[in-house]
Amino acid sequence: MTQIASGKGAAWPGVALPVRVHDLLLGLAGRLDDDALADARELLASAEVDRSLDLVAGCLAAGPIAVSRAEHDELQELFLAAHADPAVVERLTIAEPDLVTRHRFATGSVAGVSPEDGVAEAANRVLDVLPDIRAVWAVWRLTPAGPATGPVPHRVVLVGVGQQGSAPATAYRVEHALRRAGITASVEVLRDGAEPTDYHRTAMRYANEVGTARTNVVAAPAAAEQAPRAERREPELTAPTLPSPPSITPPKISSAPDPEPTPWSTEESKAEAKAAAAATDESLNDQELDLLRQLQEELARREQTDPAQPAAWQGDLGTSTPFDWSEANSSTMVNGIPVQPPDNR
Amino acid sequence: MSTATQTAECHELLLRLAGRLGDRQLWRCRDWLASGAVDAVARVLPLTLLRERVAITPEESRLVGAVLLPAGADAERLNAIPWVDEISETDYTFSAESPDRVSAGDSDAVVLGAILRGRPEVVEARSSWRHDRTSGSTARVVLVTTTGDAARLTGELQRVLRALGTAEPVVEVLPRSFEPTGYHRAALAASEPLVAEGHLVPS
Repeated sequence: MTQIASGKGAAWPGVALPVRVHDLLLGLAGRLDDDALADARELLASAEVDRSLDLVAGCLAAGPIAVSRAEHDELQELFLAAHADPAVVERLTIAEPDLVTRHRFATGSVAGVSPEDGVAEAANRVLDVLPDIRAVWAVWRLTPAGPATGPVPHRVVLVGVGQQGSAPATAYRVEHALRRAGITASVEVLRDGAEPTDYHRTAMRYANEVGTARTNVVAAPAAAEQAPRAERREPELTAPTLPSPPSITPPKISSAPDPEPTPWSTEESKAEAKAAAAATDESLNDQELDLLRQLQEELARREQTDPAQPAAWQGDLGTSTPFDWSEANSSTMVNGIPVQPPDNR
Repeated sequence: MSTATQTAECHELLLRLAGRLGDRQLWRCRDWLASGAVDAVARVLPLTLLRERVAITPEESRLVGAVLLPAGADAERLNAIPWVDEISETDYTFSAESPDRVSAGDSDAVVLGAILRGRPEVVEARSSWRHDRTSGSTARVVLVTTTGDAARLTGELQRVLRALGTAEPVVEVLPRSFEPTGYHRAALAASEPLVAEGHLVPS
């Protein structure tokens, strides 16, 4: 039987306890070490919510890793709901965390390995049977996570699930399937309609779509009819439904800059997007049409900004990669310093 | 009981559970202990022993109670952990070399040797390879004897090994006064030095 937490009342009406813990773990991504998150998700999916929470609290206390007041309150409520001893939670350091992630992600491949390599082959069998998988992306994270970090680069697989999806089970089973195939990765399952953290937004900006994994868009058609899809709230999550950028070397290890930098947003790309929208109007559902509208609005918005500034240093991304480095890095800090754009000189 | 004494006793308790508690749970508890979070260990360990069906002897049970109850462990959970009269043989074998490292070299051993070399508190530092007959898996077991803070050194070596790619490091730092368990004796018997003779400072 699914546990329903009494918790925050109106703030969490009928939200199952495992889903609340899942969302808490999403908020700790990049702050706890990746194995702690994976282990907590395994315990959560195995109906051991109390041990999952104990593990999280122990890692936060030992780190020590500060939590926000809201996270602290949520942890206390979750411990209460799971009948676990909240003594360790009560002594956690409370501090308002950074609003922006300090993590860096690679654009495309690292050392010749694309982040999506092998993911579809390893995870498709599981993804085929899990409900309401919307899309799968993968990205290399270049920065360590948590006090007892593993090595970098670290692969992060992002899975979008719809309203009928099972986020805790998806996170564990996909991670387990990847591990069995010899792929070490963190699996972050983003629920449709839930607000992503800046860590996940930033990861999504750099992620490649795992093409063949999107085979189970609607696993339960009857259920999907009863509960129509909610509109996506975050455009970043929808961005990877655009054509995936080519696998390229990250800027830091890029060897030869493009001699003729090209603005990231061109008339051609805008025209292509409009043409694609016109050509596929008939076959797209409302959600996909909405994505295309967002794309067109985004392109129009970017064209209104000063095109000379990004064009001066974005050439090594290639003409077919309309990626806005200045925007992507505006919220990415490394050791408290904004990430600098790659030097093309 | 001082925090240092509590931490040292908890470290010895975890040493006694080596080879019986899973590597994943053991390294995590030791990491917390190295960071001074003995209260977190006290809350997690009894439930882990229960759910993972790790049996303990009556003598170990008394030790668990003496160490973990003052640190906040739940007495009911401690009482529920079943006893066995004697610990059965573990399903491990040990060897001094790992077959897959012979041709490729052992860079992790080089890093560990560099860290431990010349430390006044380190009496002995060795490495052994543990083979699990059931799963077929192989893991390095780092064996260090020290006169210093064993819990802290364990945490330090574990974090180095994790950064090098060992997700669940097996680091056994034995205080010089600690009587090695059968697991440790078997590992030591099939081990080789991490630091060449003469490069450890006798204390």
